[in-house]
Amino acid sequence: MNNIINIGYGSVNKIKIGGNLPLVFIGGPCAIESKKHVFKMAKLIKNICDELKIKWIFKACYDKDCRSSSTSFHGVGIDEGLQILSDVRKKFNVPVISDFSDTGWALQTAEVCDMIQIPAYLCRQTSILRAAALTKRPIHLKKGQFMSPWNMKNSVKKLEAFGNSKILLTDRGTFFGYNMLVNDMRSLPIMAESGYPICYDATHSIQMPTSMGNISGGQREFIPYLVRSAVACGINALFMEVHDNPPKAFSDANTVLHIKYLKNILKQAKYLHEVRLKFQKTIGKYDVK
Amino acid sequence: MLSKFLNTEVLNSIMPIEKIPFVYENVFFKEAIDSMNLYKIGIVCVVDKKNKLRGIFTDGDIRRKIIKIQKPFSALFADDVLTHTNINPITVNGHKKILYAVKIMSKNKIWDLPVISKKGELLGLLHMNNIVKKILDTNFD
Repeated sequence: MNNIINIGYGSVNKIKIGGNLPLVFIGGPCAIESKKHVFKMAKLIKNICDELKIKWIFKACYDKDCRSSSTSFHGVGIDEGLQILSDVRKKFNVPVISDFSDTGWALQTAEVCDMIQIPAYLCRQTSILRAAALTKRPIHLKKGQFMSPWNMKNSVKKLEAFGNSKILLTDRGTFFGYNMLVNDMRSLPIMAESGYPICYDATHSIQMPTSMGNISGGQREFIPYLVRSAVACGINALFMEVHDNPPKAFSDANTVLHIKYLKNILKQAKYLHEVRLKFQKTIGKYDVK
Repeated sequence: MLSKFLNTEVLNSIMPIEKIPFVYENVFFKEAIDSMNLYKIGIVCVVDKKNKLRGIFTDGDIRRKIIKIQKPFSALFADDVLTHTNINPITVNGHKKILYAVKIMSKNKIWDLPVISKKGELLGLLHMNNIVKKILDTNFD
């Protein structure tokens, strides 16, 4: 964990991720449902993060291209979505992140977003990686559920080859047979060997992909356990999707965390992160051979 | 004459760089093994962009890694080559005598010796088989 990446342009709060810096939270609703809802969620998250003194990046997507069903909510679209994210930046002084699934959307997304995200399913698509790299924005690269952590080096090398080395690598679970993900915490130190900061996506990790016929299920009850495990293992950022009414969420209704639990979980995460850094300082690194 | 051969410069008997397995330091471990297979030689030299020797690894190193590391081949193959490189290899300067080099190889029980310049650039490989062949070709009368 050597590299530190800088997030934020213009007047928003600037954030550094990596090294032995405090844990950063990346969170928000899965999808942009409306301006009103996004502002509501941003305000709720901001209050919690301000109280806990945790730096955060607001996340929400304008297009949900990987839904199981053609009838599922697909998103508000790039123009409306980016306008809302731009408004959130100005109102809350918070950096924002959103993903893109079409190479033609990369530049427009990066004009607004402080960080751009590559969806896990697309993590090895060269054209998507190239488009992301060329925006020059920091990139949040999620490990595909089908990918080994060591093979993520190939995607990292592609981004580097296209001139971008501002990368945050994230684990969001790994396929275990059909419709099931497991969390292999070894992936965190393995991906950290790349030298880039590491993030753990706790809400997608408990997903059971398309386990309910035409939508995905999930086992939310495991979120706190997995957050504690990942933070203790060693990460630089924690990613969670939150919602004020999960059953009514337009996307990922079975995995998003209810906002009422966020403060408690972030509190635990912050505490454990600080303990890990303290231990690392006082008793050294874990150099078992 | 055997003594004449043993007093020649190492450079006269090396396998040149274009005929030996060598890789740049930024490749995967798998690519280095591929290079060894391509040239059918049990050693690979790892060099930097300026052709300076960063290290080596051998068939024996790979055997020991497989037993010791215990990780899936797919993970081992994706490791950076430098992770598994011996960065303090035994080498010989190209201007040394063959006798000197053979003594090093005998003492250290090695069959291949990377040959480098004063600046540490890789020039080629001294391969024991080639030395034996030259000795056998020598007129002993």
